Amino acid sequence: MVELGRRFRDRVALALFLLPTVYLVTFFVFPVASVLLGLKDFDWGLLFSPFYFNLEPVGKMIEIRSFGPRTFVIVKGVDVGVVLNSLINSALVTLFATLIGASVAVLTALFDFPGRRVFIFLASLPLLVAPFVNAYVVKLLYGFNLQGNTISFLLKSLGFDVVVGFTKLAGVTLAQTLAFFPIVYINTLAAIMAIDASLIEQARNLGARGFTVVRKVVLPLAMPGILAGATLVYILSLEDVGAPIVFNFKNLVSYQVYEFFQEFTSIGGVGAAAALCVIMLVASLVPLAVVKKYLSLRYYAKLSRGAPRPFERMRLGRVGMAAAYLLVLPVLVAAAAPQLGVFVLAFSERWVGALPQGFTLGNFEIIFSKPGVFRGIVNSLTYAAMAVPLIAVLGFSAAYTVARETVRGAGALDLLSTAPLAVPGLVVAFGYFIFLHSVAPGSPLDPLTLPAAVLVIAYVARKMPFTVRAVFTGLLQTPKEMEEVAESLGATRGTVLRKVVLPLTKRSLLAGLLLSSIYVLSEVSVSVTIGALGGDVVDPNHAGPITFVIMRLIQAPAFGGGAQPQAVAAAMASILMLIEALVLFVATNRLARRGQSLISV
Amino acid sequence: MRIRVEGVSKRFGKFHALKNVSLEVRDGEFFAILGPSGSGKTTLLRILAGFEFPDEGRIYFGDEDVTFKGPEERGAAMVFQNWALWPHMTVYENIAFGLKVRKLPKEVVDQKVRWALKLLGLEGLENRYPHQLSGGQQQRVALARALVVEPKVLLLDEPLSNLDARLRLKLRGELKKIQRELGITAIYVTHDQEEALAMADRLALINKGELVEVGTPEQIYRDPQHPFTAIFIGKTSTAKGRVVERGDGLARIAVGENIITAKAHGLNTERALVVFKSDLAKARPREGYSPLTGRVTVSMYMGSQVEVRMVPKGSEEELVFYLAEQEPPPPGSEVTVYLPVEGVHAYPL
Repeated sequence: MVELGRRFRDRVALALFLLPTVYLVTFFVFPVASVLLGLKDFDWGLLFSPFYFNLEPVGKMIEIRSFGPRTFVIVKGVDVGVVLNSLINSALVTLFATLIGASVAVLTALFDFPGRRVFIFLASLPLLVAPFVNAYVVKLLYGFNLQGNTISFLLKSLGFDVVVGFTKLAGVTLAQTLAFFPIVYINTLAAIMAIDASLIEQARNLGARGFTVVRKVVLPLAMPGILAGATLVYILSLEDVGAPIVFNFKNLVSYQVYEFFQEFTSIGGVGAAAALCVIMLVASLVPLAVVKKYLSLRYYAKLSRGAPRPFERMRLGRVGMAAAYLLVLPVLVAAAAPQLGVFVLAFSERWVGALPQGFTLGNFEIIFSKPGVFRGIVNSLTYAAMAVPLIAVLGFSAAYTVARETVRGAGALDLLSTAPLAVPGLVVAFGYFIFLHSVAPGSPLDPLTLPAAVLVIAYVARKMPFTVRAVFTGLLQTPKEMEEVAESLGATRGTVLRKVVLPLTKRSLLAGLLLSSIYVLSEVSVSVTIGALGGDVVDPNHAGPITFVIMRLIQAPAFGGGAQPQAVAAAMASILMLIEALVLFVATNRLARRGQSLISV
Repeated sequence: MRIRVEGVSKRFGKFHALKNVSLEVRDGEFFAILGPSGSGKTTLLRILAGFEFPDEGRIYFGDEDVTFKGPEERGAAMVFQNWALWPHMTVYENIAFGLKVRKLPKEVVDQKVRWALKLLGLEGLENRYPHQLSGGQQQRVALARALVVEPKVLLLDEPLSNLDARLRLKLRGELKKIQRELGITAIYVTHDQEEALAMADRLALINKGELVEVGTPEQIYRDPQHPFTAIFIGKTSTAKGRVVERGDGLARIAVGENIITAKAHGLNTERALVVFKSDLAKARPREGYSPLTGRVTVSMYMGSQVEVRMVPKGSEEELVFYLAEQEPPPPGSEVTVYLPVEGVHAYPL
């Protein structure tokens, strides 16, 4: 009786629950689960061949050679097989990124010192994602190159004729660390900003100073943020194909899965690709499960009880100043340099050695004059235009259901709508391929028939969480009583949604949609795999989005036109980064409320 | 509108929020539900409003069973503790909301909103937004918004607790006056016993999900049938005692070496729980008052009163009394307080 009455009353609530649930089950859970279908007839013994697991490391970590007056220090890293390489690399990237990111966050959030804003600017810069191009510039700056890289050029001008260069796995680790540490930074920062001033003041009042406050109060309270950032970095590192492609290091799980889409054959065929996806999935979910108790979205509930009172920053002592300028600043400059380098490359005629040569606007012209290149932009905008309305409806529905717990099962939807953040995009791409190609072969949903449709579907599933989270946070900051009072005055749930909930959360929704859309535009994993199924970049009617075009340009296909293809890629990436910067600024400064970090997990 | 609650129980997971609660609110009555935090009083109000459905039991508005009707179908307007004014609507729009939802003609809406604005002294503020109002004004808008739809019952969830003490007293009187003028049935949830005693025609006490007692403020204060009521209402202090003599609603109880006269409530045991109404104690002997002698542990000056903590002779339990016109007695000294019969209640232990 109770249930009947309730079910009838909550038809709207039920619809809001079912829409995103059905979508995510159909286009996320099933595809990811069907990765297992690919395992049919797979011989797991194959995975224990040295190609995947090699307990006898191949190669030397660091090689030092001299040619005449010149010394080469080549940092390579060792090769211990595809699976171990991936796990070790991601663990190292996570470790380094967490150390850097958390230190910078503590430094800039807690202490006042001259140049603080410069630190913040430098640390935020790599948040602007330039897929592939970033890694390419990392290689130009720090990679091994017989002609010398930018760093060695600087060293030489100081009188040291030494070439320090990163290559192979070490290059991947470096590029990923530099690109991903801001994720830890921004998450830690958000967590620190959420700490109420009284907690820090109390510690200082009791005699704790500087580093003791950090160690005993700030870090424990910020731990959820740090762990959230670290977990995200770990997953991003596992699934990243940009750095492996640029450093041409193929013995990584991500590269192997990516390569499957090139020929539909990896070394071990579909079975091996599926097995690698399963490994990648498990490797992402295990750390997530371990830190799960810190990672709940409920974390935001703490922030919703009124914004925390901001605390006064402490003065940084002499030792701290020395550490900031001698230790932290060089790392930040090194990490921001590739981001700036992308812009430099975009305006360069040529940059393959230590320094860029010539200034030109030609790279931007080519974007518009080469049909295959321009096609990528048109494709991306079209896909985003189709995905965003869907994300709006589904994301809002999911956030409302979860925040207001309108139906039983809201908790499951909470998990379901966050899960796409934790599942590597390559696993999703591979899952779509197996699932849709086997369920609906030859139909518009078959990625081999119409990759565009699959891309839009995948973008919605993968980038919806940003909107869900933004709206969810907005709802937590909107007292439930505002809806209940409307109901008690006779409004149906539909009216309540239209007249009360939407007007009160539209800023959050807009902020979420802006974020979702830039992450759609800069999405890599699905874009360069499924997106590659509709023809190559020389085909003016290919289905690939911007990131696919950028990747192909970085891979330097025979393309003509005289320009350096990577520089054209840099030009595209620059435009992308400018859009990202604009959106992040609007979303965080104009739309978000205090204590809300939209880009953090 | 007469409201009946019949055998209502509600569980949240393992937590038993309400246990078999039954009560009746008369038409036009100002009915308060009083209880400590977590007692289930707000749950009961939310069930009356239709935000929660009971696991067992029934709710009747008049003769109509509304147990499983949604909040929008009940005609029970609610005023929340935080008032829940919509920040994106003006005062006028806030108040007009319920009328527009009912699709009343524009002129009628306007006429009724004007009436509500006038009733609550909000004229001239109709185009302001909630954040441009003072706390007292916001509270009035919340009340106007509820009253304007002419609800069958007005449900109030601690609507005054967000206001400062002075304003609270002022609005308490206004609210009571408007309720009486309109003759509307009102159910008022609060944990503030003074508020409940001052405003209610009758009140219900709830503790741990159970209905403890229902009565007029006077009955509840003077003649509490349940020890929880006796302890919860007013400033009180408790001790264990031994029943010496019994009869005619009164009993003689030994507390340590003191023997005092108390109102007996179902006292059928040898041992008794004695509840003292601390502020009814006097410092000097009076006709019919029982003396209680003990040693002072702490005494504090509190302006109009003196708080005296003492341990009665032959006892180990500390009691608190508030005495008027008295110098604080020094700790360690012997003191005697005098207690009226209605200031001492004995319950079976």
